[in-house]
Order: sequence, then C-alpha cells, then structure tokens
Amino acid sequence: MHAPCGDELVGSTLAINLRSHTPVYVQLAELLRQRIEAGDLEPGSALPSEARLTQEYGIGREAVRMGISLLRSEGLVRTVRGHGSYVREATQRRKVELVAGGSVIARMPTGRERQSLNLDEGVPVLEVRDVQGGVEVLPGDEVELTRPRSE
Amino acid sequence: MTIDPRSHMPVYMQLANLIREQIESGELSPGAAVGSEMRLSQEHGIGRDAVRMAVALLRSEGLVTTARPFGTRVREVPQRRQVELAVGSSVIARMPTSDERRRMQLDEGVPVLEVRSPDGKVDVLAGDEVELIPPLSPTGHEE
Repeated sequence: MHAPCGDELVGSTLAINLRSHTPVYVQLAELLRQRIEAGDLEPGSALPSEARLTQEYGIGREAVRMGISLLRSEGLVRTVRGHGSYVREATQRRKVELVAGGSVIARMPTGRERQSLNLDEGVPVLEVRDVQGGVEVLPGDEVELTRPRSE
Repeated sequence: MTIDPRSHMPVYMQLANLIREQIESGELSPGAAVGSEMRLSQEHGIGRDAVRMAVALLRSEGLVTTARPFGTRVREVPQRRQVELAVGSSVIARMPTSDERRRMQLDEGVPVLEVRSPDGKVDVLAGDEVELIPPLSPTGHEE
C-alpha cells in the first residue's frame, strides 16, 4: 500500500544512519523535531504511530519509543495514553506583572512541582523572588512576566 | 522506595522518580555518579532498556549529564550571572529550539528565557546561567 498523500516521510531527504555514532533514537528525534519546527507537522496533529515509524525508518520499537520520549521531554509532543502522540500546541500566555524589585530565573520543575502545577513534560517554570525573599513558581508555558513601568 | 513491576507506572518512570528524589533530597550531590547502566539494572532488577530510558528522561530534565568516559553524573548547576530586566520589558520561559540548543551549547533539559524589550528587541538567554534582576539605575521610563 502506498502512504496516504501529505505524508512525506518516505520522500524525506534525511534518513537514519545506522553507522552514525549518534544513537538511532536521537537521530529519529532530530528528524521529527525538524518536521515540527518547519511546520510540516502542525501543532495538534498526530505523530505517525510507533509501528509506522518503526517500519518507515527501519528501526526498533525501543528506539522509536525513546525518540518520542525525548521530544516529549522537550515539550514538543505530548502523549495521550491509548491514543498516541501529538505535536503540542502552544498555550495562550497570561500576562503577570512582576512585583517591584522582583527577580526571575527559569529552570525545570522538580518532580513534585510538575505534579502540583500539572505541567506537561518538557515545560520549564519561572521562579520569581521578591525583595522579602518570598518565592513564587509559575508554569513556564502559561505566563508572560512583565516589568511594569510604574512601580 | 523500590520498583514495583506490577504498578501501572512504567518501570523506567519509577526508576527516574527514585533517582530524581535522591538528587532533590541531596542524597546524590552535584557531580556524584548515578551508577552505570549495568549496576542500576542489577540493583533494581530491571532491564537495561528501562535504565537507559530513565537516564534519558533525567537528562532531558537537566538533572544529569552523560559524558564519556565518566558515565552519568548529577549535573552541576552553573553560577548565575545577573542581568537587568528593564522596565517595560517582558519575559517568558520556554525550551530552546534545536538550533538554539546547538548555538548556545545548552545541555539537554535547560530552558531559555526570552526577553522582549519595550522597543521590540528579543534576547534569548540560557536559562541556567542567568538571573533577571530589577534595573539598578533608574531609567527614563520610570516616574
């Protein structure tokens, strides 16, 4: 059977190089990442299934699974159990004013923070520290921090 | 905490949780060896694939780095330099694109800060190297 049109995986100029020193799953992640960043795989669209990627790239299931897990950890895809993996859609960010004198860092959440903030894998957090030393942790994909003009 | 093969949670995630807790509690300190694939596999009675996936997950979270010939170690977090966030600017945190990660030589699992100044200029800064602080000198924008 021929691949349905619109699916250009086979015709891709890039393929997995089994002799490369780069692990196969990293190569697969790179290929899919390029397709996502190029907009060829659009936000919200489904990634080809595990079985399909295995066949088309001639690689093992474990490598496919690890490649997708890498993309998930980068916040590029999300996996819905029993359904498959999808290109993550960027969420609308709400504007949050930075408290006067506040400072900010970006980091990955701890395991606990990821649970309590209900974050997808691969989503960083913004940690805001006020002058009194109080700390607030905000979901990185939902917030845009602004430094107001008049404090 | 041990690994429960009957749990609904995949074994590799259980191992990642276990090691993550050891890192976050300080039991495994920055620079400490996490243990070889073989050792972790024996110690927890799980397959090497599961160990590999757990380590890959922790690496993507910026918690460990793997460098030959040293194996996998707890990532040492660099000292952050202070950068002023000007009045009227805004900032978001996100993961870098693959290009940015290469160009800025970021480890896996390191986010970036994208700073937009009032004039529309955009700066992308390494998330683990920078702390954004209030402007030190008063700018013309302030009252």
